[in-house]
Amino acid sequence: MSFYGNVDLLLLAIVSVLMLPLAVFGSGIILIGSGLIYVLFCPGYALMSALFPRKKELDALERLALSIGMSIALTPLIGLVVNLSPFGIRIFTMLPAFSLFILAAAAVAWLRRRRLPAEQRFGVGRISGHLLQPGFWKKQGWLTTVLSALFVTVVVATMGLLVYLVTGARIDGKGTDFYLLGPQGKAENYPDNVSVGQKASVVVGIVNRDGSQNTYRVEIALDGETVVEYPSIVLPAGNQVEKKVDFAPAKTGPQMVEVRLYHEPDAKPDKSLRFWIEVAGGS
Amino acid sequence: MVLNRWRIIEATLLVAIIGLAFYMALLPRLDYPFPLHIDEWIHLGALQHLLDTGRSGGASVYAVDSTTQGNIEAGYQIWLAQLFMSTGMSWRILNRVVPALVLALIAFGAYVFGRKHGIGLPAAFFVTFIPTTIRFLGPAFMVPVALGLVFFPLSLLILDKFRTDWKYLILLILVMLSLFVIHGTTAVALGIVLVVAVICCLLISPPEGRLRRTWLASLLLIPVTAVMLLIWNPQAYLSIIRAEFTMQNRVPLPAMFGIIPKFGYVPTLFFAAAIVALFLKADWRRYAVVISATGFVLFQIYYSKSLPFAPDILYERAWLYATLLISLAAGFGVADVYIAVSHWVRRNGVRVAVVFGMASFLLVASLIPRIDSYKKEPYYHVIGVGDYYDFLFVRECLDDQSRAILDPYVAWAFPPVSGKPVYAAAASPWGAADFQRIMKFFSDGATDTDWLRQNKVDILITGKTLQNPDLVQVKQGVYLLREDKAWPKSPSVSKLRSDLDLLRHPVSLARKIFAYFFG
Repeated sequence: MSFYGNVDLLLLAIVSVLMLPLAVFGSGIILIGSGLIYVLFCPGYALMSALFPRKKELDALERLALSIGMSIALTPLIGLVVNLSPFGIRIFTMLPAFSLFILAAAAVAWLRRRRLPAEQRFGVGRISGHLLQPGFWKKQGWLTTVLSALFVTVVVATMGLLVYLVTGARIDGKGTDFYLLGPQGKAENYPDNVSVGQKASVVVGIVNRDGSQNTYRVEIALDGETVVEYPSIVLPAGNQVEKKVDFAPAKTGPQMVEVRLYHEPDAKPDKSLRFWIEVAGGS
Repeated sequence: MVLNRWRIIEATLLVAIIGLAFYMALLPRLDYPFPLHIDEWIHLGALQHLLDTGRSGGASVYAVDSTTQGNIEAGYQIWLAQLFMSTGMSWRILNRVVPALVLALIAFGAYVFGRKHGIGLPAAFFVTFIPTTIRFLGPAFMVPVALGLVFFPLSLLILDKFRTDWKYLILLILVMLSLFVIHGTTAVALGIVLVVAVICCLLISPPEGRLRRTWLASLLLIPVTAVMLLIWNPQAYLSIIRAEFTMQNRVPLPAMFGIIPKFGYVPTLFFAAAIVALFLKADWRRYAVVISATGFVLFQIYYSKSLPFAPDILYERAWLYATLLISLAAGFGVADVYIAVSHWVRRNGVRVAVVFGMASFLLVASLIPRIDSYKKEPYYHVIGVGDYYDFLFVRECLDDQSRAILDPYVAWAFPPVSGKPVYAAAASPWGAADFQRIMKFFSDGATDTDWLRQNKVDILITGKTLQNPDLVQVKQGVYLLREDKAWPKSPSVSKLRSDLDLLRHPVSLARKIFAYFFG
């Protein structure tokens, strides 16, 4: 059987086998492109090849449209079967199940094509080199050449729009983000019960989403009285800093800790965050 | 080898129409980077839950003590999950790309169905006009009904091929089975269209021999595949059917004809032309499309005027099915008008000018108002950029067992972005009681720590200043319940949480495992 007659099934098999490692280790536009082909085309094409191995049963556009449609239809059905397994729907269960289906259908397609006379089999023929042969475009005439160039332009523009859809999902935030983390840099273990004079710590996070460099000042106040200052925190545009800040309460009892953020040289705080501590007598 | 100029022109126009489909799906999202409808957020939340747990059912991320055993659109979330896992696209990119791909596929399917009847390009063109509104949804949203629309032209194509080969019935069965778990209402609607098409074919130009019996058997497609629904999730569907037929949660229905200006008068006019030409052309496909489209429109009229009960979901979604079928029928109408004009015009040069004039008229008269209508639609901007960064902070800094309480009308966006569930979420006009209860809780300073602990809520998001000393204000508007005041949490989950991206980065996963065991 001709290699070129089954190169489509071979490509299906290669994509099926390589998809899982590609999905785990890959990234970027290659992963997106191959993933879209894998999900939106491969299983449907394999099914169509298995059910309709003859060339005359479907033309190229019909086969393409139905391959895409059946790929969409097969995904939930395969997923529901995988959902019944003890492992559930994970990347390490769903992709192998998908690939197994594609391989099985491709194998059936290959067997069915073998039984047909060569001229009746559907298959992707040799990629035509006509378009690149010298003199080919001279034979077409200027109008056909212009129309072909227009076609290529429209295809490129449409693909460009699709790329813009993928890459244009940016979020343009402005302003400054200000947050508190515990001393280990996580949102836990915030100071709670401390003793007089004992050092307590929090991590202060600042994100500068403005378009220009900013200088900040952080103050910590206990019951409204400033106890410590961290001036001149310079942050370029788009940057983030997390800084551990310490304070030691001087009197006992419940106290409100207020962490204030200033845009220097403003006198009023831009943002402030609060929590309460219970201060016991020193030992 | 000489290239065919007309084929090049047709291919160019087809690619341009696909580009138009991308643009129409992108249009609502040009100035807003997040999902545009609560339904989009819900599906992203369900996708988040599916990826976290590996199951399509279980605990709901949108309400305490409720489950998603009734997840009747799990097929759609499974499809999104497969896209996510295979492409690595983040949920925000998925939210932009999926509607564009879906609308392009609907247009492509319409072209492939229509080209052998001379209506491919106009049908594909009009399909891009299917309106997307916040009430009726549409192909510009990432919702299952939009994905279901892809199957309409393809199923008609399959039916066309079914006249010569019984194996196409297998494809129809797979489509119906899948559609019932993607969007049941669309499956019912497609089933109705297929029944109409089968009857038209059997009456006008029936297939020969044994295939005729197979065609008669295909009339049982809906009830047979609907059994799949009931076997898979009987409780969910029976409760939905009961609710729909007893008018629970019924809301006033919007004006019926408001959809026509959004869809466009030009395709509606060509649809009317196709109805007139129906009496002159006995093609079963034409009859199937026109009768189905007319049937759905009459259903809308009758339902809104006099039907005391029925699933209002079919009314709300039937506009999408109707406009899709009207698009296909309008394609027939364009072909009819062109043929009628060609009979009057004998000279080729004038005929070309007429075609060019018609195409220009279609573009200008139909596209400009359509784009304008899309831009004016008041889409739901559920959250702002500040909310997004607050939710992202929660994702990055808190473990999986946290749950948040916030404005229930905004809460839909919280699970997909933060990866955490919420206490309650509501959609207007429902949920007013939840909204008032939560707002009162915040207005009172959220001082009831016992209530927070009992309801397993440890994240509070509000613009109000809270005075509870058991809370830490970690960000403007974000408060956390101190760990010693919260309920006991399992250390294994808090240390090694599942992460949407973790599986894709084995080095990060290895580091997490190392840190878990060795500190």
